[in-house]
Amino acid sequence: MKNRVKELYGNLEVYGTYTKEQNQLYLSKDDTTRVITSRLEEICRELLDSDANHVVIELEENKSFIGFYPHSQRSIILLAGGPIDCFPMLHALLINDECTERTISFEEENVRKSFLRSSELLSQLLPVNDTLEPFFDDYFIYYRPLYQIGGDFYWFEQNDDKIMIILGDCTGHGVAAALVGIAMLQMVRSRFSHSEKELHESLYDFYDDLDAYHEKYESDEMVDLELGIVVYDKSKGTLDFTGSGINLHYYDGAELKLLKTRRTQVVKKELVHVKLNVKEGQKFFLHSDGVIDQFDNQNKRKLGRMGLQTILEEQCKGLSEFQFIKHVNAFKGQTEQIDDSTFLAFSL
Amino acid sequence: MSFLLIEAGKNSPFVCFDFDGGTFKVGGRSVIEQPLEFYQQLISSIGNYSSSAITEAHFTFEFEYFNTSSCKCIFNLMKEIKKLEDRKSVVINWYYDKDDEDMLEIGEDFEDILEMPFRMISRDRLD
Repeated sequence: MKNRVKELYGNLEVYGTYTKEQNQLYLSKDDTTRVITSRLEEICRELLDSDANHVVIELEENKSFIGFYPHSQRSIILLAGGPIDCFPMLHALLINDECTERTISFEEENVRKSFLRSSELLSQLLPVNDTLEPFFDDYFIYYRPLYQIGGDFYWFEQNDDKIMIILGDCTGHGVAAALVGIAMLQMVRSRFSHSEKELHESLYDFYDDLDAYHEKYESDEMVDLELGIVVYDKSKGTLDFTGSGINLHYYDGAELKLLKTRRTQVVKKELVHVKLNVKEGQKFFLHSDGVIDQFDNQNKRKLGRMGLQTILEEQCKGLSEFQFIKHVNAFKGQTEQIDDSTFLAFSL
Repeated sequence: MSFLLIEAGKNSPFVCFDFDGGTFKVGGRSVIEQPLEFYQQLISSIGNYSSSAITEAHFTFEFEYFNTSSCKCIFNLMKEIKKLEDRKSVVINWYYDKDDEDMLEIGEDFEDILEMPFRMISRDRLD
């Protein structure tokens, strides 16, 4: 196809092709190089989600970015060039397909760029994984917001021989949820950083803060947050956990166990606080509900706790982000993601 | 108004409210980004129903999935249903997929917080 593009219109720059493989999009610049950029991936996803078989992004005068996806092909061809020049070529290439198109205006493009820039900035606020290195033998972070960024967030904070790991799941998706997430994270940190209180007591304090926040700002009552908080004390060999809707699964070396929490435990003053004596080889997993709420490749059944159990049993043999992604993608197939999805795995 | 019927969308639930018959069903998927507006119409209609002469109200919830924004709206709907108890006999059926413990637990949470009895009904598959 690329050769045919060049034959038909040599002056256009062929960026490459996107191919769906297990719902991942790869831009193949040539036979040996695969790259993914969020900008190109977004264009391709929009194309795949729409009924159109090509999308034209008007960048500025006489410059456009074009992705087209003939229904008879499995790859998206990405081109850069002037829109007027491109159309005859597109029609020639799409001769056997009904030609439908979507054009994104310059203004819309600006909004999209602004969104992407916001997303990049927000992504940079997430902690670097290096903080975990001294504490864990192995670990991985799977972070897949529904959009570029979302209401899920995680945070690590080291204090001498202790490390605190926070997983939060805010109501909503996208930049709005992410902004709420940042505000929530600051509130969480102010309650938990260097606190002398027991974890669950700090969690009650946090939810008091949240109530006060709603009252003070008369904010939308939809703002809410589920949390899972782990503090690992390396020198003492202990791990504390509390949560309000986010569970902790752990492998104690013999079996996989679950510490369940519910958001309603805050209201009922029944928060779970568990202190475990831990040792080498044990594994710990936190996840947001987007992981287990994902529907399967038939869009019929959720992964659920049973599905997660299978994945975790595999991870107990040895952490593998690759295996995790492979399993999740195989389950999900082409079915769309419906929620922010975060999974944290640690091995001592 | 005798009926409130809303067809299920790709990400929005179906609604079948029969006000004369006193039966109210809602279910499917609720992954609405801005669910307040959607659920407010249901809440308002239940508020208006409280003054009707029908003495019984049977509610059936058959959700296969809802996001957290929708969950809060459904809870608000439940609170409106709770108010009906002063005037009517209210029955709530909460269906859940037998493998979906989370959906069962959400129903249990609603039951607990609102202090209303729910009939929890397990199904093989909510198609």
